[in-house]
Amino acid sequence: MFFAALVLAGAFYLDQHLAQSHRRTPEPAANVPPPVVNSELAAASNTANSPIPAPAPAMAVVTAANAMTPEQRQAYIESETTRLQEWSTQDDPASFSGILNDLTNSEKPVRMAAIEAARQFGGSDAISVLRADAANAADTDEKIALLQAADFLSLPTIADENDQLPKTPEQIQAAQQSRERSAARRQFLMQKHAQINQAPPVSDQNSQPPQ
Amino acid sequence: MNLTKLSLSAAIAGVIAVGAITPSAAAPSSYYPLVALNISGTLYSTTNSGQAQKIPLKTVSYTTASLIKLLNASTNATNFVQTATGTNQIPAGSYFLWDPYEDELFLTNKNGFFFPLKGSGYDLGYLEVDEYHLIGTYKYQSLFTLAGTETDKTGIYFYFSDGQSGFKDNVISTSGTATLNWTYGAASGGTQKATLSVTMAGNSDDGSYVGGFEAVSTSFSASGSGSKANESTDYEPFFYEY
Repeated sequence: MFFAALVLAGAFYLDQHLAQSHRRTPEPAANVPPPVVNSELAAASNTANSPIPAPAPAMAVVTAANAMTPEQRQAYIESETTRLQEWSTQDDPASFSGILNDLTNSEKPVRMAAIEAARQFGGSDAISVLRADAANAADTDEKIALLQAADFLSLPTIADENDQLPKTPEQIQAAQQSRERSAARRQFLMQKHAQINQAPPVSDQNSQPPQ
Repeated sequence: MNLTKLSLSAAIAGVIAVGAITPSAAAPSSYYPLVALNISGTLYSTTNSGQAQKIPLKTVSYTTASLIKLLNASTNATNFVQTATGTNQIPAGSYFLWDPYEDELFLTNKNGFFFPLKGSGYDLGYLEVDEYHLIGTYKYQSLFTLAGTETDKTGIYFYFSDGQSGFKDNVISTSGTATLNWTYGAASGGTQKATLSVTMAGNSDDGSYVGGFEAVSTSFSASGSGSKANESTDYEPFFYEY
């Protein structure tokens, strides 16, 4: 009995160890993009005024990751998230490769940012990767996000569907009526909102509606 | 501010073209950090505006890139872009920048392109924070330095229009909820570094259109972050001061 438990424990350890080694480990802080000239624009995460950083090799420096202080770890997450946001706005294989690599990053915030980057990058090439990663994901939030991203990328985009066909007179009339209804409803909601905010405060801080 | 913007957009239900456009393509200086946002979502739509049978409902997605594509395909929008920036196309690789104080959205890139979605004579989009029901919690690490963290929850309203005329417009109108996570650095000389990280999720509001046909917004998400090196200490905490 004890021997069987020992074997099971060993198998579990090996499984965890192999899964972890599959994940890419953080890179040293040297990969952080340099600062940009306009400080306010630079402060927004994806505004680095530098060439798009190339994706890092899949197996990076393990010792650096293990030695990171909490502050260094946070700086690494922020810099990798910044790179992902930059890659997500591009349309080249190197950026796509960088996003896919970070889907298996050792840091969950980076993996979640990579999922969002894959959505923003668009195209159908990432769908199979996202589904495969979802099948292997242990974290429920991550699994859901991966599947949602795969489904999202399966849809046609609003720009693809925007065929701009000429409308029939009936369709134009319907469109006019629809806009009038929407405008009227919004006007009603705004008036209601304004009335709520102009109402005098209740005396006893109790916001429950009257019974 | 909320209602003014809402009424302007609602009354026009799309692009406003009521006067001369003033070139204004300059990066704003906000009280708060400007946030680089990834925006995405989905819409149900149909080309059926009558009682025809067997016309399916479609689901379409949008991202920052597809919204830029819509603007670049719109004659009205490209005219506004031309007037504001001197070029009539929004460059590939541009992204949204959000000013949480003015509720304004901009499209910008690393090469200096800068286009406000709302300007004199036009309104192609904005992202509102509902200041009437803005709640939050904050904690100082040190009362001496005012360094600390803050988390806020609030309602948001996202509006986008590509400005197409002739009932061919694409409009996204959606409400949602935002989480704003702030980190404040140690104060020095009345200012401190402020970092803002946001996540937003939403679903539906009436007033969306795809190619001029009625549509219903089914999901909306936005996330991103930004920081300001010298935010006034008077503006902390956001949920109370805003």
